[in-house]
Amino acid sequence: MSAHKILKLMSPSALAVLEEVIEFSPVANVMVDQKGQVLLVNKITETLFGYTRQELLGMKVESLMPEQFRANHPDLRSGFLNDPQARPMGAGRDLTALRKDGRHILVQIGLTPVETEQGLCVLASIVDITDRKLVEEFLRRDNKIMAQLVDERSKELLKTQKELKHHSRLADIGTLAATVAHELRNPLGVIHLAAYNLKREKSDLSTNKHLVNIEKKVWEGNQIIDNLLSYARIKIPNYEHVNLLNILDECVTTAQERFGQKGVIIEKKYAQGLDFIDADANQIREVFINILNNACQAIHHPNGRVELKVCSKDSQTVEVIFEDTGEGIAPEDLDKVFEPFFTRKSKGTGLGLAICNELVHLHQGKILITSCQGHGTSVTVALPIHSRNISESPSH
Amino acid sequence: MKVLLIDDDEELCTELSEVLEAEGFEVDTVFDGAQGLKYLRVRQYQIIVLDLKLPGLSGYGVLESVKKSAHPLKVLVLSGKPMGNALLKENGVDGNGEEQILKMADAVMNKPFIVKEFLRQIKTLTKGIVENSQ
Repeated sequence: MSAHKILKLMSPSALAVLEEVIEFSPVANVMVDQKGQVLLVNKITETLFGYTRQELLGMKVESLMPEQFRANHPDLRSGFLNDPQARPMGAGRDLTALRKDGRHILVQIGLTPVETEQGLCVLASIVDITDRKLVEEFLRRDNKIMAQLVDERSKELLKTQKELKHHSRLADIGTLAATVAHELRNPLGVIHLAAYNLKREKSDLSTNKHLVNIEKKVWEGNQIIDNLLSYARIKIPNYEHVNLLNILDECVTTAQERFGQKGVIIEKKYAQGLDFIDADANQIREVFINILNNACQAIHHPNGRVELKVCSKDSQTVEVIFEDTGEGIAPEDLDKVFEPFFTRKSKGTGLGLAICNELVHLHQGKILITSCQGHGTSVTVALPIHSRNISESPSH
Repeated sequence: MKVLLIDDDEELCTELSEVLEAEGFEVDTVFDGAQGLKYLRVRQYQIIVLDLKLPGLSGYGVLESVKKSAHPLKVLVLSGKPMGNALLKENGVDGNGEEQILKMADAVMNKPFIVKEFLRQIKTLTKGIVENSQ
């Protein structure tokens, strides 16, 4: 049974009780006539809209809504009165009401047709949902933040998981490398000794050629073991105040013999005043030797050239650039060259640049490779000149 | 000049003995640590070439025993595990500290070693040692 039918059946005393109920209801009740004039309000309506009862009575109901909704409202009211069915106003939308002080409040409104002596009127029951909407908004925002946090944590977890996997792989490689090193170095040593003795006892030329090959391969094998071990045992740099140019020169001297055999010329262009940096000399040496080895291996034509530049873009960083005129790196391989075990060479562990990358990053530096296939490769090692870690060393 | 070579790799002993003998050294070869100490008690040597990984008494044990004696002999240690390389350093060598070995040994060579470098080390270590022809 609808509300207005109940009202019709009520006795005058029951109606008086109902009037009380309406007056003290926590819901604002506003009754308007067909012209939209306010006929009746209850106590809470005064609080909700900030008008006194005297101000409200006789006021056009459109004054209680924002400007943009006013023009259309009389038509909506006529529509309702032509089909007087109790129903919520606004069909699921949040409605906005206007207070005396100009503030907008969010409301939900239920409409009930009421037969009165002045004809058919509309009773609007208005609930302020501003706070609820605010809480909902907060909850939505908190949910969003929570979702973001969960997302970030999940990503961190995945990253940690990946790192753990990487470290466990490194630990496996370490154990394997140590075993392989010990077990292989002994036979390599004996092969080398046997070759030495053969050469000593029979020094004819043909035998010598093969023995030289045996010796060469012994050292290549040993180098592979060293690479594997140094990748597996990379550790925090032991910082010292070191002369970068001296280290670079030492590496060039070491590589000179191999470069010389290929007729490769090394050109040096060192900028002034960039001699000293804070670094682990052994690790930086390893990086430079690896890059020089790669440059040498990449050059297959006569008149090859490697240019070494030491320069600085700012007062914080020194850049060591190795530019070779070698075969270059295929574009699709460029982003893989730092991956451990990636190699396009028929010989090699694929660990050289992976080691360089790890060591340079441990120094808080950057390593960058650009290459043009068929023309050459440029490797830039950017290292911080000063390290915060050096102050921890008692010798400095 | 007498050398005691202690290494469990028989082929290494054969080849290294030949290298040393060709340079005029007299070489005794044993394949384990206990045997090595036994030889040291009964014979006079000027230098010991010692492998670290040995069956039974380890090379470290032999080294410690030799260096604690009243007249310690010169010892050149041969190591299968890389020693003295800051990049390749690990925490223990056969359960003993690498640093202690490096401290006690007169020279350390990582296998495989360059023969000429090995001979240079041997000659440096035995230089000035007067042979006791007992």
